[in-house]
Amino acid sequence: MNYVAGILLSSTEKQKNRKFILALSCILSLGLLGVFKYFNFFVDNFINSFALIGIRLEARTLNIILPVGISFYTFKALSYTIDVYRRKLESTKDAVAFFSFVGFFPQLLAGPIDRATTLLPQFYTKRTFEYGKAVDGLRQILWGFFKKVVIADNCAIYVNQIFANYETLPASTLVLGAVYFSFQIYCDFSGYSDISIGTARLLGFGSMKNFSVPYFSRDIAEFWRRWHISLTSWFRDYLYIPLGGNRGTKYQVIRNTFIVFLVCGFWHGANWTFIFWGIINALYFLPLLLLGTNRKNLDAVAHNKILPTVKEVMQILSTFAFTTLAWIFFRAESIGHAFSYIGHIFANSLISAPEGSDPEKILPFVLILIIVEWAQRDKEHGLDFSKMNIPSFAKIMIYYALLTIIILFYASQQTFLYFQF
Amino acid sequence: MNKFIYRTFLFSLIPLIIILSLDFFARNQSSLYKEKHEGALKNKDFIEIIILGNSHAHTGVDPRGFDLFTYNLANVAQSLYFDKRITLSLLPHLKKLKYVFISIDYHSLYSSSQGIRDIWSYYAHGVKHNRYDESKYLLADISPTLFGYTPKVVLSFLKKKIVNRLKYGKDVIDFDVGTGVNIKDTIVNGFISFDGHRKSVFTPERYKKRIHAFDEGIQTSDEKDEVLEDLNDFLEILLNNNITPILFTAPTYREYNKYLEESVVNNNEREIVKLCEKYNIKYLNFMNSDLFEKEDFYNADHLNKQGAKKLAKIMNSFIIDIENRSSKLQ
Repeated sequence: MNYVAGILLSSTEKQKNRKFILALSCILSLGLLGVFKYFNFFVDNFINSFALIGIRLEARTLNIILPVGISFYTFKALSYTIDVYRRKLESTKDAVAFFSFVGFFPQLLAGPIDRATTLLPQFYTKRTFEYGKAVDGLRQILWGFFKKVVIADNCAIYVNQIFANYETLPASTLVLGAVYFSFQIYCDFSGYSDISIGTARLLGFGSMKNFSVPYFSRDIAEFWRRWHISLTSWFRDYLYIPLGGNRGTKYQVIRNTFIVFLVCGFWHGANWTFIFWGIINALYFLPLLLLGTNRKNLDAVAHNKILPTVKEVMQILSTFAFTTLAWIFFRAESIGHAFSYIGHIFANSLISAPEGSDPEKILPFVLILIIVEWAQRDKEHGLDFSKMNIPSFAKIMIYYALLTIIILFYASQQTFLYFQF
Repeated sequence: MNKFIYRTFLFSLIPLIIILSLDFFARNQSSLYKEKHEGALKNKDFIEIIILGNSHAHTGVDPRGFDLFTYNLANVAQSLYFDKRITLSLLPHLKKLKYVFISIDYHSLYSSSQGIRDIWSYYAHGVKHNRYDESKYLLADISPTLFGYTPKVVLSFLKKKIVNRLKYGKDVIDFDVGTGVNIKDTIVNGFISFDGHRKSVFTPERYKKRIHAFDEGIQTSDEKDEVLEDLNDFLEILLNNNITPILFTAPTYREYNKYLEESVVNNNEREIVKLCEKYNIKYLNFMNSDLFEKEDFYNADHLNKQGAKKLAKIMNSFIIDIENRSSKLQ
């Protein structure tokens, strides 16, 4: 569909026709996504809305399996059509290159949502093996596995227990559960991204950075510039800017921001919890927009310094706390569940030792993550040793140490969280 | 490219050698599971009674307390699923087998898996769980370290072996019993138990923590019907082979029992009574038995050696009673 749309777009110069082709391509692409991902959600909510006013409707929902990764490759394909329409990219007749771009296996299941402008041309050229790139790809894969199987999967065990039994647990445990979920989702998704980017690199492909130490952000705007970069920049380029972006009145900017966060929440899944999560993040953004400080922290924190200032630490911790609060809605089964969870945090005593099966076991790994990510915060990934004078022997020892940790402390297999999207 | 392949090969060589060595060690390492299996085969011509169940029965029934030759095949966390299959795998060899004691405890009816220990039963008894596909067992055969016991467990084997060799000058098979076992004790007829009484763990907090762990599994279980169906089948097979199954619940400390979920206890009892009526078999419920004192327990839900002897004697008198009645009838 998008392949044909690209060819048609290059074959006509008439603006009216081009607009029609683009609109049709977008409607069909998003329509497919809508049917597979959102049809049942809309039907259920339609029935529930009528039930509220006493009208009982009977409608059939579809018993279909959501194709894995559909949200990711739909957006990839859309970026191609839109960029061809905008004349930022030449359309391709090379079907192999196009479908390899859309179905590029390291990115197929959970991104990064690489743009056609950067990834597609790489399929046209012959790639030669580069030792440095391949080794760096392997390093990134190793770091990704550490994050996924050691931190995310171990956190998941603890988080699942807490979210399932939150009513009987003390507040300290619930807080720890929420904090661990923040680490779980970060390590799960950024771990996958590292594996994906590393694999692509091993094969000679360059891929965009998807996470840039988001939990060291000093405000929520910075967080969103560092979290799931390929998606947030997609929304910026293909939704926020077309809506008007920063241009226009303050009201229009706020409206645009809310629309983006709502769509972003909805993109994550057909559940009100995701929509609510999007709204909360938009609300976090609001004061920054009103004060005009949303582009204040553009550089990396403590640039050229070893440690952050006390003020920066406080900013980082408060941003992390706000983000963690929002993640509760992301993780919860329903909005009621999330509110109840938060209610129990404030209802019970916070001053008690957390319960559960040895939650402190994960802490050393989380500490390793924090230290490595802090030290490497302006690098491509945790094990990016470029421009560093580390002896080969020390590097090899680091790899062996990580491998040993992975082999000894991996948790039972958990599906990647973002596969569901 | 050649440089990359060569260096990757060199880098992989050390982990490969370590894993192969650990695999060799794990394959040749004994365990309580292997000991029990080999012991049962060694005594196949004598065994008349077998004891099945989890750690409650494993540490709680001393086979030496029986007049008939008894073998304890219970093991830590052993589920009814494995009780059945282990027995069936040995059945063709146990020509004299007359009675099978099957322990059904608070959590027995709710899970067929033993978690990480499923693989232990596979290595010792060759019993597979149907929740895994064949590839799991194929991989477990290829590398017990990576895909079987897990590297963590194999390393703990190694650590214990080294420590025991240095400390006691011999190998001690206590992996599954852990602390509390007298190092001088050896496994007799599949039995090894705790020494003494661990006072510090008889607290309401400990009871609650222990029960909470069981309750979590019970609440999330959707296997009960399947477990019961499998147990029905097991009982039928035993009866068809002229073997008398006897259900029992091992004693647990009465203060601990107060914290058990009443609905679970009642439900278990209902199911057991139904089975007994259906197959006309006996049920010995020692859960709240007054015959056991605090000193008979190692911790709230495990008897120690003294308690195990006591329980065996009671079970033995029950068997003698059956034996006498059947000889009178003859």
